[in-house]
Amino acid sequence: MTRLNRPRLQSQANLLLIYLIMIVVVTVITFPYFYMISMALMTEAESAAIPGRFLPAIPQWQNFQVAWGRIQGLRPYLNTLIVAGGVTLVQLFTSSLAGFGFAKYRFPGRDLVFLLLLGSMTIPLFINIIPWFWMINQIDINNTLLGVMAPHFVTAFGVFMMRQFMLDIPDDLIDAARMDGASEFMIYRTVALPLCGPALATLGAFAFLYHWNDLLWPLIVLSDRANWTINLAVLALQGYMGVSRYLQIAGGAMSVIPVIILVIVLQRYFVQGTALSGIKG
Amino acid sequence: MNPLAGREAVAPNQPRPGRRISIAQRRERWGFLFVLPVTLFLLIVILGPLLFGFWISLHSWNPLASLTEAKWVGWRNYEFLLTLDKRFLPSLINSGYYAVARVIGNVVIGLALAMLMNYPKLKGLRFWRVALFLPMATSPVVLGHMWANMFHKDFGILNTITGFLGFPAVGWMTNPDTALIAVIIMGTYQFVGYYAIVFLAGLQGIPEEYAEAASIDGANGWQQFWYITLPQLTPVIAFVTVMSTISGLQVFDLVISSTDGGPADATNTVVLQMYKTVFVNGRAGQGAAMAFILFAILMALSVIQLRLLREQRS
Repeated sequence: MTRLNRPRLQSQANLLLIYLIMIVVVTVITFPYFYMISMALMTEAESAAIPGRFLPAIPQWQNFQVAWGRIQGLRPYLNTLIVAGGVTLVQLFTSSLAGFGFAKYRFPGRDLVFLLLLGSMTIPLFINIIPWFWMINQIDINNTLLGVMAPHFVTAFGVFMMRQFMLDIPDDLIDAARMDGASEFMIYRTVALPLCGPALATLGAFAFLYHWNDLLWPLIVLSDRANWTINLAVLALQGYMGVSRYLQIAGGAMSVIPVIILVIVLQRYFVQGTALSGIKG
Repeated sequence: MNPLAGREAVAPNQPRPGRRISIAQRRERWGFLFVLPVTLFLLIVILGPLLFGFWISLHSWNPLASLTEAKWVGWRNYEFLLTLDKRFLPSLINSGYYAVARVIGNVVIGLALAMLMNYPKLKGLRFWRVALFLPMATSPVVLGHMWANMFHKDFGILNTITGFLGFPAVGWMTNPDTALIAVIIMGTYQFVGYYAIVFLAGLQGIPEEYAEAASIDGANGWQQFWYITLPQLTPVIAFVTVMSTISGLQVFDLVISSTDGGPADATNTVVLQMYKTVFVNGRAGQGAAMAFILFAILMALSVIQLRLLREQRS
């Protein structure tokens, strides 16, 4: 008995230590979020106290109301929802359609196009910014939400991911649908697409998150305040001289709330997708 | 009009393509149609602009002016950036420091966290992972600003904490020597959880028999880590290293929201410099040249890194 107990005690001490470290790590990681809320609830004087304070004496809940007005209320949220939601939906459609084509059809030039597509994944976004700016000016969609969305309607990674997923769909299933007289597009819609639920959810979750948080391209396209996305509204709030610190923080905190909810609700897909991204290597 | 639709309508009148072939052909066309939107997009929105961007980099042009006003300058934009310009090369070096420091931080801390989370009896994995994922999901505009406030010399909570411990206040964001370090800390904070999750998946993919066999052979914890875990994880680490370097060299949001490149350009990064050159100062040719120099570096890096790690593996 005693001989068996020692390693067990040892492993229990290890486990305790690991829990302790993890709690410290998570505390450090979540600290900026809690402190964000704390600072957002401070008075003017408290947020400028030297040295910095941890908590407000009395939480100033009306700060959020003021900040809400400063970022133009619901408007930037709606704009961001249109951009992120629109891009996500179109990407899901183009990615799954092309993924299906690459996975299940043979046609001349297929492998060449696919190779080009794979290669294009190494092209960073910043390099096309200037040409895109010229292009959206040419077709007169500068300063519109469409202008923000347009260059993102296709994602090479999404096509690649959907193709990998669709390769696993048995050909028998597709042939059976053909026997039943389904058109090729119907096969895509009623056979292939429903089988790709998890892949679509993962792709969609990441696309939405990415475009909710995107800054560089919206910053270039959207000059008109009415079209600002939430990030632009918050960035502008941060940059205004004379906007109190606690209001800047409150505005930022409000912009993060939808993302936190999204991450918690769709955590399965985010974690899976993240894990997946390393396995390719 | 869709040219394919027309051809299909004609098909039955043609001499004798044979029914089987015509079905195969029709299928071929559908396959082609399925990838057509993506192909067109690739040509018009990705590859075309890439060439156009390179053309711009050989010109002097204000992005708001008509294209006919672009003046041919040859390689002079590149020459200027690499020799005379006082801001471009320092910004490149800043981005380089940031990217390298972040890679090291992400790999070392991320791996350590993943090893902890891989401990068999640890509960609450879902909670740990979501908490770790959060910074990566949060807008860098908000995080950068928040961290800048926490790093603030006078009001910052970090100096309050170090003050309790008896250290003097540090002007993290106002001192050119420490500002980049502060930005590196922010960046590492933002992505370390993401890499921990990636590494954890890699660790979970290593067959348990390996560790068992090693411990039967008398390998201790460190030996197991060096000779089994690490080699098994090499492909994942390679991937993370490449990705982290490439994304690190492109850092923009985190910087514009925290320091805006200051103080005294100490945290000015390439993409920030490019953004300002093009969209604040109206010098698109110079900005495009910057983009292509950075692009060349990114390409070279990923080729070198992947080759190095492949050699290591074999």
